[in-house]
Amino acid sequence: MRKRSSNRFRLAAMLLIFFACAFLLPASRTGDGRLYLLAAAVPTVMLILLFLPGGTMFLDRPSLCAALILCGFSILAPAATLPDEALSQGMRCVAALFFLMAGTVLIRAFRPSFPAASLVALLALGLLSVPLWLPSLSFSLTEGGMALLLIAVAAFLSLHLCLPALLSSLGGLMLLLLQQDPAAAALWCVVSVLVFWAVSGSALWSGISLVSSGGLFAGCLLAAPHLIPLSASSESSLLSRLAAMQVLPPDVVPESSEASDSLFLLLGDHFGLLFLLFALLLFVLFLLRAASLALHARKSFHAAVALGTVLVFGLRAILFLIAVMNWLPVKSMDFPLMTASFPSLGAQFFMIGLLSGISARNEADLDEDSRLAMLAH
Amino acid sequence: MPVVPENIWNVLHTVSRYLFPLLALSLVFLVLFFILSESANRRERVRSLPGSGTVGELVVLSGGQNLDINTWFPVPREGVLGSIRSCDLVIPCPGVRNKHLDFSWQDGQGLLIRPRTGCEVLINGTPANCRTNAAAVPLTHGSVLQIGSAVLRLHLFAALDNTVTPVQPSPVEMSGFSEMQSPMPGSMPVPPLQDLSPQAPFQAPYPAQPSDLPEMYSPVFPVKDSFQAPPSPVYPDPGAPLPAPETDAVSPEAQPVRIRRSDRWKEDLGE
Repeated sequence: MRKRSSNRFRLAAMLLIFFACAFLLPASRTGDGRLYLLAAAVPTVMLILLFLPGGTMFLDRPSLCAALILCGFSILAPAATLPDEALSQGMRCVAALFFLMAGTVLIRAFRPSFPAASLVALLALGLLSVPLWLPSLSFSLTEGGMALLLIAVAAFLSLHLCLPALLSSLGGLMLLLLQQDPAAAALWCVVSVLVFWAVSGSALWSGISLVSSGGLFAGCLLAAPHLIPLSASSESSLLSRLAAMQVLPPDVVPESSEASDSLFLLLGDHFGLLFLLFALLLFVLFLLRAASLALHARKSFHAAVALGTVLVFGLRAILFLIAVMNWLPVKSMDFPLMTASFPSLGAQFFMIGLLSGISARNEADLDEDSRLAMLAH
Repeated sequence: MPVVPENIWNVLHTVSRYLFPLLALSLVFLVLFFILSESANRRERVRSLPGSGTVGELVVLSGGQNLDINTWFPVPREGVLGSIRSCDLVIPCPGVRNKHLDFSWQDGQGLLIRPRTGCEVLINGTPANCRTNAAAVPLTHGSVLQIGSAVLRLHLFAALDNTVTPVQPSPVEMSGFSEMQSPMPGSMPVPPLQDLSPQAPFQAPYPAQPSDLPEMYSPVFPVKDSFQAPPSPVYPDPGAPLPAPETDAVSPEAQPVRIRRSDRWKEDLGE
């Protein structure tokens, strides 16, 4: 226990030093009060969350800590050049913390049953269909819909209701394709097939899921290519960034590469490639922690939700890297937890809340084991 | 707000190009240590709770040739019972299908059994199939599950709120039961049936283990490797000190007969 506390204190001290220095450096040049405010507020919020009593808030501190550092990076990225944007990003991150609490409470209160799973599935499909009947909507509800759909599919699968799970999954995939979002559709396709394979334990249903999801995706790609606009890369390229950092010669950069407002790449502009690699490493640690939560879960529902969350985050990061490297002509997504879109950030914090709730459930199970062992003696 | 002079700021900026990656690396390591320490703490807790993750055990009362009497299976909160190795509970007996049934623990009710399509079991003598309401016939402490040619009794760890009057299996199906009542020499004592009545005090999951054995689980596993003393060294010099005396580890033959099924997986694989 003492060792754990000392680890936490060391981490807290390092967080304080890092973020205070990182915001104070540009602030000391311009004397911008907003940057001084961020230099005080960002480490303070992190320390509060790191030292909150875990038992009352049901937070999984290691995964939350990694996620908060990545969020801090997303605030830091525009701080030197766009202090207003940095302040807005900070506000978005703070507001998204409420979704973290919502996810924690939901996963602890949710009991898989057919009516509950059906309700969540309908809600998810409703969220995913909003852009179709409200095309003028300026923000995307895709990620929130996917998070809810993941809960519904996991609940159906844990109840051994493979057909409703498959129908919900295919419905979500169809809506994502109709939204002309091939990257999100591909992500959901892979996530749903892997969750099916891991949870249903049935080769037949896994095969059906694979064939139907893959068939639907490929069918849309071939039969209605206008539904899947594959951009030849209107997005920015990491190659151009690397060339700008003088890591690569300029002639390897494609002509079509343009600048982007991706916070992840902006961070690389300010702090260098090595810093980006460390941020990626931190993200990998976050994924490993989330995967361990999935492994320790005792109910297949919790394991499926945690597994799906890990897959969503991991595949998002892979898609981001593929898009910015111009390996596939797909529209780029933002790097997880480093996005300027509040609905996306909220959905991602909601999923981290799900992980926290599962972690709290795992701890409660161990406490119950301890109680039983004590009674048995 | 204070502003530093340009030349000082340039120095700070140059230093920061190396400082911030270093600090970021430190952050990565500290997060890694934090995660590792949390995991180690969890492992330590799990190690101190041998029955962690399970709700009880299924003890074989009769299993025919493929399953020894008194073999016990730790029962997780939920999973699949069948005859193939990928199942959570592997019952390699005639009449047990590859994936015969799903089970899940429900707090306050017991272990709910959901046979798969075309499969049937007897729960306390009552037939159950895929159309049976699982909540109507839950397995509780002392319940008997008959699946194929195997007869299994459930011993719950969380039995305090779920004890029911134990069911005496029918003598026809309980051919191996008399053998259980007169255990083989050195075997773990099996609790008599009257101890499972609701009036009886809560029974520890692993009762009546010899007190001189090191851990709760170790005596019941006939894991040969862990009990074999290393070969005594040969000293060429007769004046050298004598080899270390034999450890007083219990020989594998003297181990109790209570068998954990998973300990036989190695020999199963060799078959």
